[in-house]
Amino acid sequence: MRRSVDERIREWAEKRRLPQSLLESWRRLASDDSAALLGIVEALPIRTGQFTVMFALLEEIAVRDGESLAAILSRAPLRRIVDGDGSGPAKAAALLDALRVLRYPRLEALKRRLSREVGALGLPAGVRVALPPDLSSDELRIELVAHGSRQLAGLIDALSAARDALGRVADALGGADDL
Amino acid sequence: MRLGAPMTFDLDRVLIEDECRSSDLVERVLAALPAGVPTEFVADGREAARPAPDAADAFAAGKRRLVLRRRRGAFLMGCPAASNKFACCGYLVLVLASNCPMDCSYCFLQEYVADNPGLQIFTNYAEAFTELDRVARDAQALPLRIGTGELADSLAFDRMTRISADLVDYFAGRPNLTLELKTKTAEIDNLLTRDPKGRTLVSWSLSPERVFRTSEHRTAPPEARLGAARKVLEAGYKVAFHLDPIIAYDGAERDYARLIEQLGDFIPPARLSFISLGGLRMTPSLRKRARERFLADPMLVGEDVLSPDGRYRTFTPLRLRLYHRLREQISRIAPALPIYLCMETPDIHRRLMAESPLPPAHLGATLARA
Repeated sequence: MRRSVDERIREWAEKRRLPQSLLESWRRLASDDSAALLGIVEALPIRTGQFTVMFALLEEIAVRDGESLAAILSRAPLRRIVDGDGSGPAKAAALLDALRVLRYPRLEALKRRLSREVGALGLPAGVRVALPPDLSSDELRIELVAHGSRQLAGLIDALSAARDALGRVADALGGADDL
Repeated sequence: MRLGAPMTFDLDRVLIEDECRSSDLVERVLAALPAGVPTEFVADGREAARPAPDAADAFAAGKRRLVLRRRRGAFLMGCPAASNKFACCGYLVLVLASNCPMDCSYCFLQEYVADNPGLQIFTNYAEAFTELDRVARDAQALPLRIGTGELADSLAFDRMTRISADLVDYFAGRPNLTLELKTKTAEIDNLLTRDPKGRTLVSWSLSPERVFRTSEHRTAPPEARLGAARKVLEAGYKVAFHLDPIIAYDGAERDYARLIEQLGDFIPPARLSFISLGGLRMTPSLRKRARERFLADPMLVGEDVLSPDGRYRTFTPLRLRLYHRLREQISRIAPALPIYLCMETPDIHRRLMAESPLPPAHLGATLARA
């Protein structure tokens, strides 16, 4: 006899030691939503911590976009990850990343763009350019690590050559760009 | 122009502290109450304002219980949001009531008065005038801006209490004090009966229609607030606006720009006193509480991240982008208008204004004179 969705949810939750409150939240979802979520965790090796984050992201996207969890999980970019090639853990991680992009579209896009721009500067290893975590401030931190005056001079020269590009990154942190 | 429906209350009961039985204010409130609201006397109103232990939403239950009681502590205090981490505006707060019959999903009172959520009106409010006399004397010529709209809306109870009339009359005779009545209502009838003599400023928190519809429950619509602002301006009051909280939803830039245009259509920009800007900010516990109470509010699930000050805020480049756009838009309609930021750091202030913030006392004096 086929097990019901609810039985399978309980079984997965027990195996993964899912907190009771989260299990209850899952079971309170509309039946399509709880089944869609079950489909994901049965298809991919989602860990308990990953499930907690995924559940929160899905609920927040659902509130913001006025869509059901099932509808969100059926969006093409997410389906492509779940149904695509690759190892189970890699797909689980990619699914979470994709949900973060959906939840924080402008933040993630800017983070990625600025990281790319900093990477493209090709600064030497002794120069560390740190963007604020989650762009939670407008502070751009630059650290130079040198062993000796000659190396220090080289790092400063490299930094000077990147001055305009770094200035654009600093301005972007201050809200200069369209988002 | 629609001024919106009058403020209504959804009261289960009114609790009056024994020692306030003969207070004028109690008489006024009882006379204005809708018929059929049960009234009882209690020994200690503070206890009556505590959260109901059996309520699923104790904060909402508090908004259905009106407590008329004597205030034991000082009425005048520094703004509770002030901090040396922020570029502050030197605002002083006069606490004449606590909590609010409106129910904005983002409201900090959900956390701030969680332990005493009952609606409270302080019957001995006239004692505040003694404190104000002392402060006015100590400040000598320094102009001070003193508001009643921090722990409660300044005008939400006014139809019942008519306290605004006493306040306006008091401040009318104090040349170095400016009263700020901060509100989301259109409850201005009592104000229109007084002459403020330039000493009372009425300010409205203003949001785009979309935020009003999703998140500002029981408040007057934005257009009604603007209409009320025009009326009090014509009656001799100063007028200001707080674009606070600014919420960075998709389409916010366009909606806020339209709101500022609309503001300029209602109020001659040259007659505005100031505009403040403040991005949505929530402590983790406020954010949790607000989301529990307003499960379907899309404004509570923006692109907010934990900031260095421990509050969730819209990630900085997006927040600053909105500030820049709003500042440009405001400067276009009112180039000389003072604009200040609420609960932002001096660094953010410098980014936006290209100059260091004034010390709080100086900014406070500027705003009091504006």
